[in-house]
Amino acid sequence: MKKNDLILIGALLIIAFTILGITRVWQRNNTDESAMVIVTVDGQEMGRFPLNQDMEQRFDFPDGSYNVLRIYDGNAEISEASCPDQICVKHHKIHYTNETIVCLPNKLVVEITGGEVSDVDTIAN
Amino acid sequence: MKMNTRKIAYLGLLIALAFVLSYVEVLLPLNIGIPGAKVGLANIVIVVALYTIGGKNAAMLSLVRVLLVGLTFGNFAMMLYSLAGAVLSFVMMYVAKRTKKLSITGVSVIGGVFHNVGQIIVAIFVLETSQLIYYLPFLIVIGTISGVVIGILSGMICRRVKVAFA
Repeated sequence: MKKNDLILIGALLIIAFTILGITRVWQRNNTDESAMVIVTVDGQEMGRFPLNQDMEQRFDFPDGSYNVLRIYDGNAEISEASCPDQICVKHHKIHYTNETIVCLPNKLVVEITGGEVSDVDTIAN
Repeated sequence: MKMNTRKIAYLGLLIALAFVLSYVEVLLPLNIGIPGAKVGLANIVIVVALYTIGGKNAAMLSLVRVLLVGLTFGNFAMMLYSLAGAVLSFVMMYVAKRTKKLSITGVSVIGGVFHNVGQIIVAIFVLETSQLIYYLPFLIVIGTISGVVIGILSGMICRRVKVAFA
């Protein structure tokens, strides 16, 4: 290993942790009580659920695959899925704005949005 | 470049090895809940090829590997992610090697990081979800760690392979 290699490794780690730190602080400051969980499949929105109501919903796809979304105690997670890698199931629970769970094989994305945008919908409901 | 029998046999051997290592990775996935995160075992073969038989052959090897693995174990979408990762990672490794500022370990770290970054960029476009960018720091860290390990291993292999070719 040359000295340049160590500089490269150090720089990469510093960049990674800086980005991580900034996004974490931003996410924490932009999350409030009225956060919503949005589920999209292949870019199309399949549903919106308030993060403060416990629920469970199954999403089935034409080819027989499925994902089960569960919301409880203000957290969202994929509790069950048909995909082979199970990355979405192992993913930690999410509850901050812009956190996502992705199931690449099923093209399903679960994401959290802060309350501001969805306030109108909540009132309308 | 002239292809002699020895070189053809060596290239075939490396393709088979890359294929098997990809299969091992399918069997033992790094499952920590981050999409696109991979150990990239097959990258050992690509790095060794880059340092023993040159860029052109190594590029060919990388593409053949993606096609073989995609057709055998994955679907079209997976092949697309894999291809983006492989191409970006290879180009960056090639450039990094040409600058001669980094050793084989540094080049492998570049490869590991950009493999993950390439995959997440394609995923952002395919899923139309820019929020995936939040996985970037995790992917950089994982790519760096696996890159160091693979770089050291590749260095050891290269020393021995070069002896056999001399």
